[in-house]
Order: sequence, then C-alpha cells, then structure tokens
Amino acid sequence: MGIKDQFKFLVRATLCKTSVSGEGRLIKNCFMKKFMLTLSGFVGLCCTFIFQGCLKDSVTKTYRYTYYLPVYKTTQEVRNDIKSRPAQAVERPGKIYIKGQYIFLNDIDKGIHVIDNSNPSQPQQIAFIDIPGNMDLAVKGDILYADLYTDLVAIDISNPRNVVLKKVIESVFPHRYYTTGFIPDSNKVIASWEKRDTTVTEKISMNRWLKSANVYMDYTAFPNTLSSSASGKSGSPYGVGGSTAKFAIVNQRLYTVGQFDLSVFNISTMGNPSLVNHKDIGWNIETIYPFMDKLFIGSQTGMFVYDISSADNPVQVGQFAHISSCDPVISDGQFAYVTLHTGTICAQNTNELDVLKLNNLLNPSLVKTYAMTNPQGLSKDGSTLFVCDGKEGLKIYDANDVTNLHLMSTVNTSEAYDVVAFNNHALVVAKDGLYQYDCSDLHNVRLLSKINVQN
Amino acid sequence: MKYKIILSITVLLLTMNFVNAQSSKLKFHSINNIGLLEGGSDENLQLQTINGVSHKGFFGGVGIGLDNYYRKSIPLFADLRQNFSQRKSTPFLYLDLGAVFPWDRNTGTQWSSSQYKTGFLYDAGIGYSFPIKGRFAMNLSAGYSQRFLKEISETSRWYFLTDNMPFAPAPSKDTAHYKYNFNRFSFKIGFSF
Repeated sequence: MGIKDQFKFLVRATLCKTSVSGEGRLIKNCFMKKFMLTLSGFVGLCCTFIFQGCLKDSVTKTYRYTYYLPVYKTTQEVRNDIKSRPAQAVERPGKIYIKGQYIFLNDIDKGIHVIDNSNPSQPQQIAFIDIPGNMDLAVKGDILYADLYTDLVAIDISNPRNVVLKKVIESVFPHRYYTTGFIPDSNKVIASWEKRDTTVTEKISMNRWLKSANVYMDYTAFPNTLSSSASGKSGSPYGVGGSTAKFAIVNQRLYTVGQFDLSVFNISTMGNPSLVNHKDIGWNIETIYPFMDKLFIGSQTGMFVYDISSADNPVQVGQFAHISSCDPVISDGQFAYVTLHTGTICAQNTNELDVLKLNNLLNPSLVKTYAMTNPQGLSKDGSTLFVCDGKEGLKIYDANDVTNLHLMSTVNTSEAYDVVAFNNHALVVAKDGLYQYDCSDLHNVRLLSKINVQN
Repeated sequence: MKYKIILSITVLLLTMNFVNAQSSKLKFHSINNIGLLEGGSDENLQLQTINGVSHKGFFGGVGIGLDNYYRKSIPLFADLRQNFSQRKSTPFLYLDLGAVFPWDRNTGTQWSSSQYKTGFLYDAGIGYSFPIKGRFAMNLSAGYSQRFLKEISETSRWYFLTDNMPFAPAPSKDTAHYKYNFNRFSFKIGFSF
C-alpha cells in the first residue's frame, strides 16, 4: 500500500473508528451513517437561520364595529319638539310610571311612550313624547317631571295626546354632562344617534413580548370613543313607580338622586317646579324609594334612610351598610327589601335579596338573606312580594313571614328587571318588552298583554 | 406553496414504499417523542406518542400529544413515515396531519370571555433513527409545523353600565373573531419500539 493509499485509509478509519478488517463494507456503512447524521444537523441549522421568516406567527381579527354619530339640534329646537308625537315602537324600555289609566314608559335617551291601559289586555300606545336624554320620570296630578340630560322639564299631560311643555330648570343634573373628551357645542343638544355598522378584518403580527393568556397585542379592541355607550343592558332601568327609580314624588316635593347627590324640587305650583335644596349624600347613589315620611336611598355601598318630615331638608337617620352592589329597595313600613346583583359596575360577586327590619331606623337590622340568580327590581302588593330575578324571570313570594318567604310561582320573562304590582296586577319591564299579568290567582298567573320591543 | 410541498412529501412517501421490496409482514411500533417548538411568538414543549404499523419501511399510525406553544392544546393526528432504507439505522421522512383540541375551551373573567375552537395542524420533516438495544431505537427529527386555531372573544364594556353617563347607545359586548396561524420549527427526540 503506497503512502497515498495509506493516508486515505487512515482518514477513513479515523472518521469511522472501525477495525481495518472487512474494511471495505464496514467503512462504507459507517461513513453513510455519519454522513446522514451530519446532513440532518446541517439541514436543521440551515432551516433555523435561513428560514426565520417562516416563523412569523400571525392572527387575523374580524369584528363588527358599531359606532354612533350624534345628531344635533339646538336647545330651542329640542324644547319646541317636546310634544305628543305619533306612537312609535319601543326600543329600549326603561323606567315606568303608572297614573290612572295611563302608563308612561321611558325609552332610554329618547323620550316617553304614553300607553292607554284602560284595557290591560289590549294596551294602546297613543303617543310618544320626544325628550332627548331622558332617563327618569315622575307624575303628580297632570304634570309629568322628566330629565332632559342636565335639565328638569315639567310637562302638562292633562291631555296625553297633546302635552305641553310648562317649564325647564337648567343644569340641575350636572352628572349628565358629556365626559371622556366628548364635548359638544353648548348651544346644542344631542337629539338622537345614527347607528353605523361596519365589519373590519385586520391582520395583526404577534411577538413573544406581548403574548398573553387571552389575546394579543391588539390595542384597538375597543372602537372609537363615539361608540362608547350608555346603559348597555337595555338600560339598567330604575323604574319610577318601581323599585329602581331615581325620581320620587312625596306630597309637594320631587326628590331626585344623582350619582352623588339628592335634589329637592318644590312642585306645589302645578307646572312650575323650583329647586329648593341640593346636597351631596354619598358615592354611587343608585335608587330612591319613598315611604310615608322616609326616603330609602340605595347605593353601591348600602341603603340610607332619610327623614323628610321637613320636606325641604331631608336628614339621614339610618344606614345599612353591606358589600358593594347595585341596590333597588322598597319598603312596607315595617321591613325594607333590598336586592343586590352582579353584572354591573357594582362588581361584586353577590346576588341576593336582603330583608331588613325597620323598627330602629337609626340601625336597620338584617332579618334574612335569600340567595337569588340576578335580582333587580321588586315590588310589593299587600303580602305578596314580586322580584325580577334576571333570566329566571319574575318570582312571586308569599311574604307573610319574612323569615320564610314562600315562592308561589315563577313567571318566565326575558330578563325582567323591574316590576310594578298593585291590586293583583303586575307590570313587568323586561329586555324584550312590557308585560302585564293578572295575579289574582298566584298559583296561576295569567299573561294579559305584551308590548314588544323593536329589535 | 406550502401545501404543494406537503403533497409532494406525501407522494414521495407513498412512492418510496413501493420501491423498497422487503418482508410483507406488518409490524407494530410505538414512537414516543419529546421536543421543542420554536416560533416567532413562543418556544415551548411538545410531547407525542404515536402508535401504528410498518410495512416495507413505510409506517402509518395515529398519534396524540401535547402542544404547549402559545396556547396549550392536544393534537390528534395521523402519522406517516418512510424510511430511506430497511436497515435499523436509517434516515426517514415524516408527515403529521390532524386536529388540535384546545386544553381550555372557555376562559374569561367577569368582563371578558374567550371560546377556542378545534383547529388543524401539520408537521413535516426529516429525521434519523438508530438502534439502541433490541427493538428499541432512538429517533431525532427536525421539521416545520403549522397550527391553526380560532377564538371567539367577547368583552363587556362596563363603563357604561350606569345610566348616569349620557354616552351613545351601543352594544354592551364587543365580539371579535380571531384566526391564529402559528408557524414553528419542530425538533424532536424520542424512542421507538
């Protein structure tokens, strides 16, 4: 074997570390083995470095973007338009007030439907009163009091088919100013909103720095501020005449609550209300319910009891503190009934009905707590307690013994959130409309009529 | 383009099977791998167990595993392999095709929720198998993997759930549909018998 051949043999032997015996086939197999291993490693490295571009993850997001454009009118135009207009479909039912044969149903931010309920089996929508920004209402005699954004309006409804604006008190509800950078012309009012829908599909790159358990780095998840909303849940309605009101009339006074305050209006002169008192009473005030010479005011931090024996000067005389929840409250004078529910900015994990004893108004005491699904508005007719319990519908209890409320029946309604009950008759405001029930037989509650919400 | 490559590999595997004329017996094999998925937005673990039969150097089986890239999921797939030779030490091509099931289908908080749908994945590459002892062999492989995933996300816009703020009316929930495309290098090491 020459030097050259020996060198070649040594190289092969070194590479494969095999014995020289049977060298031809063994060396060839050993060489192939090492060659394939090397090739695999080399290809892998190539892929890692050369094809980095193939590693780019991506996500495509498709969403329907809904935004609302404001339609402006001047303040004078809005006031001129506060009159009875032809009846129109209910879109977002809110507060409800009953006076005589008429039902006044708030349509959130729009106005008030006037319904002739002389035959509860066939209620007739007879008119619509255009009040932009309206959320609440109360009626005394022939005067309807309603909010128009920051203003209080008094409307003569002696002829519901031809109502007349009597007076406007400006800037009494300061919490109703626009916020979050949305500042319109102060001489104009947003009379309505034009809804615009568009579907957006966008491709988003991903990188490991913004990895999250839920989504990704999409900071455009929320649409433009113009589309941010009011009362997303078809109005978290606080119904007048119901337990979730913000307006309450006692004798010659109209009491209203805002987010932090209580206002008192003297309404002794028909159609000419005047603001007589305004005071801060706490945080996150939600509801007001009058009973005799007391006001029960529900908030996210508890229930306050105010004495209004001095009508112009309500004084706090009691308080029941509990965890933060939104609190519709009613009272029969002996007991107060308060519902706490989740699913709002009150943001606590509690859904229950609390029954409080009012013997000592300085310190109402908890009698019993009843677990519920998502209770909201409630009403009491005699010894019968009506509770709107979210998707569970309307629950009707025998409340003769408050320590042992007995469920008489459950009426299936679509997310009921307020109820007014009187004389074995119940009106229920639900997500899909206004229901009326005959409750003369509590074991066999009968649907009388329904006014549907336009979808 | 990528799908053409996958189709080509599949055809190549099937063709090579008929070229290698060897014993006609079907043999059971279990291939168990652990590995790494390396991609643009994550690097994470993968586990696999694949069981099937081989014939004339061609292997077909069903695999299940864990894919922890970005969002934990369980792949269920068909595995096809073709050895280059009938020897115990041999390079091979592989192709995995199948569905991937999210580990958590529904996640969320009080204000947002996500629902993840069953997706699709494929993984194709080359590797090398060499014997350890008896029927046991070690496998190394490197390839490219794509996983497709869908998510439906709902977000509540809580700040207008009070009627004190006169904002425009709007839906109380935003719904968005997401389609993910994860592109990764797939490196695996394991044993088979």
